[in-house]
Amino acid sequence: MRLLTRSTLISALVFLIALIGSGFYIFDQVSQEVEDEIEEELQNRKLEILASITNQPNPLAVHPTIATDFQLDTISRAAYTTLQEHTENRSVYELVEQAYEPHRQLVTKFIHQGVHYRLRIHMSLLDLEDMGEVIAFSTGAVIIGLLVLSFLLNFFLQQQLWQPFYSTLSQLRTFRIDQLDPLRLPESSVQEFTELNRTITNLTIVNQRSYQQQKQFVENASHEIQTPLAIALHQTEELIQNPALTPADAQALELLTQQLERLSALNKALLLLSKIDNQQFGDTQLVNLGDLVRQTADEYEFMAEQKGLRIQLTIQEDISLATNYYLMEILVRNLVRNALIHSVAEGVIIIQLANRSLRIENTMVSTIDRPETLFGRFIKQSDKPQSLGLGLAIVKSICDTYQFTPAITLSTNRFIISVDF
Amino acid sequence: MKLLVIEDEPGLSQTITQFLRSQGHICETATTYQQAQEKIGVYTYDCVLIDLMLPGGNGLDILSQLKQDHQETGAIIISAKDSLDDKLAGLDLGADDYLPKPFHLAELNSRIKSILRRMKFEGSASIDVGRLRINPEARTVFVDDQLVSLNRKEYDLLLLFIANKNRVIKKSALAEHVWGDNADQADSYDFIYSQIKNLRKRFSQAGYELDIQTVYGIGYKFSSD
Repeated sequence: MRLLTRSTLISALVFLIALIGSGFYIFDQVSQEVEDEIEEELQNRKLEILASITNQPNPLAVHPTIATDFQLDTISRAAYTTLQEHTENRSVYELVEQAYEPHRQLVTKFIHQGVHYRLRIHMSLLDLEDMGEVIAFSTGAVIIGLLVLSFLLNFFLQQQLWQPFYSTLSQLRTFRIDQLDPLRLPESSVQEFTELNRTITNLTIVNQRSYQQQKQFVENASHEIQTPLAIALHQTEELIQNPALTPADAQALELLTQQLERLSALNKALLLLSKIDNQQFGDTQLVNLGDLVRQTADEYEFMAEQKGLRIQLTIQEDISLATNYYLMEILVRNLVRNALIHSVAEGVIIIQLANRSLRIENTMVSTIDRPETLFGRFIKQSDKPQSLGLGLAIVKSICDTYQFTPAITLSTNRFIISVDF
Repeated sequence: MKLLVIEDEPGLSQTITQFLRSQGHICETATTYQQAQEKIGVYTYDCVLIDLMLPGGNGLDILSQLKQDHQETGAIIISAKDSLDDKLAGLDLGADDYLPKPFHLAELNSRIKSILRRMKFEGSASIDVGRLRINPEARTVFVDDQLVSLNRKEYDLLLLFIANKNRVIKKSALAEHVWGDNADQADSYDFIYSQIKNLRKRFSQAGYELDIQTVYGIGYKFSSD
C-alpha cells in the first residue's frame, strides 16, 4: 500500500473517531444548554403564572386545565408537604406530530389564599430532538466531506509531492554499476528528497568508482600475469628448435611447456570468471541454442573420435534465448568438453535439447561423492591433468547470470548434467 | 621483409623480434606510442605488429594513422585484452588480422606470412616448396602439377607446416591452429598424429613423401630443402 494512502487511512480513521466523538460532545453540550434554557423558561413561566394569579380569588376558574402549557390542581396538605419542586420528563400527545413527544415538566407548589395548589408546567423537547438530528446529520456530512476531500488531496499529493521520489526510484531501477555515466539526481525543494538524492548519488559514485577499480585490477592483474607467461612460452618454443636436444631434455621441455600452458589457461579462465561475475557481458542477442549445440558437437567431433565415442544428438525443440552469444558458446562448449574428457572410452555421449533444458549424459569412471560440489571452483571430477577445475564453475557463473538452473544427477556409471533455461 | 614490432613489454618484444629475425625478417621495435608514431611517419614497413595497450596512447590510433598513410603495409593487432570490441574496432579500421595474446610463435609466423603474401602479390602468388605448389586463394595443392585433394583440416595443417618449415612446431600450436581453442583440453594430442598420418597418405597417393617428423614427443617438424 502506498505511504500516503496508509497515512491518509490512519488520519481518516482518527478523524472519524474524533468527529464522532465531537458529534456526541456537541450534542451533549447543546442538549445541556437546551435543557438549561428550558429549565429557565419553565421557571420564568412559573413566575409569570404565579404573577398572573396573584389577584385572582379562584385560579382554577380563570385558567382552564387544558389547551395551555400548564396544569393547575389543588392538592391535600399532606401531599403538599411531601411534594418537592422538581422537573421531570413526560410524554405528551401532540396533535401536530400525531404522536407522543417528550416534554420537560416543572412540578411546583404554592399556597394561595389558604388553598394548596400543584402547578405543572411543561415544554416540548421536540426542538432538542430535531437539534440532535441536525447535529448528527451535519457531523456525518462533515465526516464524509472530509474523507472525500482527503482522498482527493491524497491523490493529488501522490502525484505532486512524491514526484521527485518516484523519479529517483525509476532512475535507480535502470542503474547498473558498470554504466559509464554517473547517476544524475536533481535537487528538490523538499529537504528530505534533496538529502536522499545527494546521499544516493554519493553512494553510487563511490560504488561505481570501486567497481571500475576492481574491474581494472582483475584485468590488469591478468594482463601482468599473461606477459611473463607469454615470454616464457616463447622461450620454450625456441628451446625445442635445438637439434642437439636429448630425449631427457625434450621431456623436460615438454613438461615445462605443458605447465606454462596450463597456467595460461588458468589465467584466462579466472579472468573470464571475474568478468562474468562483474556482469561485463552485457551485450545480448537472441541465441539459437539448437544451432549452437549442433555447431559445438561438430567442433568436438575430433575429440569424440579420438576416444571412440559416439555423440548422440537429439534436438527436440529450438530454443532461442536472449543472452550474450559468447557466454552461451562457452557454456555449451564447457559442458560438451567436460562430458568428452571425463567419459570412459568407447561409448555414447547423449546430448538432448528439449523442454527448455539441455541435458548431457556420459559414462563415468568412478562415482563422485557430492556431485553438486563440482560447480565450485577448482573442484575436479577426476585426476585428469589438463583439468583446471573451472569448466563447470564457469558454467555455474553463466547460469547465475541468467538465472538458469544447472544440476548434476548420477546413476549407475552415468553422469548427467542438465541446465534448465 | 621489413617488420615493425610495436610492443611495450621489453621481454615480449625481445622474444618476438628474435624469432622474426630467425625467420629472415628485418625487425624494428617501438615501445611507446610516440616512438611508434615517429617510426611509422618516417619509415615504410611491409608489416606492423601493434599492441593496443601502449603507454602514451591507443594502438588503434597508430593503426588508423598507418592505414591512412601506408595502405600497402600489413597490420596485425596483438592484444592481451582479447576483447571483442577491440577486435571489431581494429578490423573496422583496416587491420589485416587480430591475434590475441598469448600466441604461439608458429602461429604468428603463419599469420605474418599470410598477410605478406596477400599484400605483396595481391593474392595471386603461389607458395612453392620443392615439388609442392599451393594456391592460397583457391586453397588448392599440387604435387608436380597433380592436384592433391585435401579437406579443410588437412589443408590448414599443411599451411602451418609450410609457413614454419624446418622448425619444430609444438603440439599445442598445431592443435590450436587446426582445431581451435577447443583443442587445448584434449586427453592427448593423438588426433594430431592421426591427422598428420592422413596428410601423409594423401601425398603418398600422389607419389610424394611428405617429410613431417615427430620430435621427441614435443612436436612435429616439416623438413624441406
